[in-house]
Amino acid sequence: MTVAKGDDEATPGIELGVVASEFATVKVTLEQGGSGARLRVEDLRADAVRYLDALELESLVWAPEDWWRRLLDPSLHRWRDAGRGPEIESLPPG
Amino acid sequence: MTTTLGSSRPTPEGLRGLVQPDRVHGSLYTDPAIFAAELERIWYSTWVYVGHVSEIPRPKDYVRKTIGPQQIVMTRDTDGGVHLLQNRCAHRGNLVCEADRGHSGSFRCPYHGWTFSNTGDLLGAPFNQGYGGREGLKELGGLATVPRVGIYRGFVFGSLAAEGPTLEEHLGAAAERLDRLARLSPEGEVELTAGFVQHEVEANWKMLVENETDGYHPQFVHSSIFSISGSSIGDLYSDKSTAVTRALGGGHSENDLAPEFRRLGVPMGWAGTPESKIPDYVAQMRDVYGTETGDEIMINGSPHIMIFPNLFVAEIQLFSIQPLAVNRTVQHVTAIQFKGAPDLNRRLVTQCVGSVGPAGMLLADDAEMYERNQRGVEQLRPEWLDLRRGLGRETTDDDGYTIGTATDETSMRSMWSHYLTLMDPQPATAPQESTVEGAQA
Amino acid sequence: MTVAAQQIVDGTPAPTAGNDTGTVTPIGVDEAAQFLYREARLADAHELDAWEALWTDDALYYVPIDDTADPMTSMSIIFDNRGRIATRIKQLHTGRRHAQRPPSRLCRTVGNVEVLGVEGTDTVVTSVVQIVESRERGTRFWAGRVTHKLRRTDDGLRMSTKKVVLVDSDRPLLSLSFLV
Ligand code: FES
Ligand SMILES: [Fe+2]
Repeated sequence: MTVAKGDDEATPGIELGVVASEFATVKVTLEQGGSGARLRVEDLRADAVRYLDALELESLVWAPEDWWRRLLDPSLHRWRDAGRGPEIESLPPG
Repeated sequence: MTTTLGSSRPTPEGLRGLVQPDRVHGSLYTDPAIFAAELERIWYSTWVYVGHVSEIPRPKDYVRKTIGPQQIVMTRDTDGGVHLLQNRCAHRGNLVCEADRGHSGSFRCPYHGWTFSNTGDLLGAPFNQGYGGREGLKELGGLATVPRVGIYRGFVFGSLAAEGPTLEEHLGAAAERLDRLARLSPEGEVELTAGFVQHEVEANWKMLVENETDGYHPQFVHSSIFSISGSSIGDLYSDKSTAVTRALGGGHSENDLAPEFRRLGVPMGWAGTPESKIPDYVAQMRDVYGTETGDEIMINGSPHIMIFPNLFVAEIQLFSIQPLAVNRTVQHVTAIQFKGAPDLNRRLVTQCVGSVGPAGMLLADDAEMYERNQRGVEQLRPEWLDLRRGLGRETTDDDGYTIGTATDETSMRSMWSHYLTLMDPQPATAPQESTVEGAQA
Repeated sequence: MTVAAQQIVDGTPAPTAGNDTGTVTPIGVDEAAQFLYREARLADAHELDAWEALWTDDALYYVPIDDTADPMTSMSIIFDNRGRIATRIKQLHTGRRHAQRPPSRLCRTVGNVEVLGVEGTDTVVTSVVQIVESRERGTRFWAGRVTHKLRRTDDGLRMSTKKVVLVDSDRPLLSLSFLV
């Protein structure tokens, strides 16, 4: 699976900093441009980027603890056996 | 009587022969088989001090700690609960956490990517079809947790045994000393935020435990620093001192210096810090506790207590003792910090740094003695270490505890008596228990 | 954190062309190296008074655990001002500093000497030190990155700061009771 790259790499932004632990290193930038603001989240260890809009971020805030636990499962998306399991494993309801 | 054990496992009878009321056998410090038995019967069964809640203030904080040679990760869950996990992946046993501390709600093993929550649950493994998909993960384990975690005044203790006395029972009278320590903060809380010096010594861990409340050694081991710094600490441990050595039961002991501090009668006199240097702290203490109580707290000072088997609070510094081998021990040392007392805390850090650690003007000399002592007891004769000092002049205080003078070996005798009850849970002869250890809390 | 402590902590000197008054002759790498060698020799030989005399009055002798931490609020291995350096030397002179009875036998190499720049009246010099220490308990190897701040005075070169970042500073260390 690939992570969506940004459409517009040149958008100026305020670099908020790097959030790092021994397990991950991620750069977070607040970008203001186009018709609104977004958060640029970059995995510095793997060169992948995700853009998050306000509603997506708000949804993260409201996501239940179980959902977050599922998200941390390496098999959920990034390290899955391609073609050997269901395309997307169903998430438990809540 | 058997006085040497060879390399076979020590039997209860053998141990009883080695630990006597007035002497202990040298092999207790040198025999790898005894060390192995100690790990099992003491370090992996009784309550052991692990860390302090202030080291993981926020949810998802974690810090690496130890219980003897065991690697532990102390974590804070989203609800604020404290967990002790063994740092060993459920897959093939890799160390999961490498950093000394960090902030992460989950841990991903670097070997094959198994991912665990900070409470130890397995959250997933990469390419899980090899385990029959997500359902199959239920068969796989998570990180092992330390079965019992207890917190007293922010001090986190762990017991690797599922059953046993409660932490309160284990601490007994020691708990009140931790209360006394915490009261020195205007907010009633100790914080361990200064980080740790790790000082290794080539000596058996019991050399350290015994030395911590040995009031007989300071005049000799530390005379160099006492003589040039004009410190009066040496006088606290003399034949004229009104301080006492007290056996608190459970292997715990203290040098109760409060009588001497009260004689001084000066707030913070025990810390060698005049009121004028820490006006904010003194004012706040009087404000919070009232002038009379505040002054009393500041005059009585901080405890000097060895909480068996590994937590030593020496007024302004805290030591955690970690045995690694029969002749290898690490002391993790930090300056105690009092919440809400920034001016005092800075002084405590600089004072502590001068005294402790590998280059410390006090502790390097203690360490030298541990190491010489270790090499000494490796010699064949006279086989025994003497424990008689003050045996004939012990008394019982109002609370029923056995006390000796400031320089007596009361604390060591009580440590060994408790040691025997842990190493040999069913003693054949009970009498030495009551005569040596005194009252229990 | 004090300015001095901050400078120690980040170790980055101010740019060469800055607050240099221009009245002092700059300290070159050869002169700096000669000073470092002499300092090393005096420490190895336990020439305590001669070693102590190398310090300025605003001295800072610092062996951190974590080179990025604030030494006023974090534990260090050594964090001595001039007064405490004097105490340390006096303690060694008593003959009752047990951790140095008998004194360690020492042999150190100073290398990779570079002048990094000038900071006020001080020249910042970096080097690497490797020390072999022999005691009855065995022979130990110590190594670290050293920062000196050297100052030209009427009595010759003096050091106002010596910071030693040991490669194993945050690991368990055996006693380090000699002058590192
Ligand atoms: S050992 Fe940890 S994932 Fe394999
Ligand atoms: Fe001591």
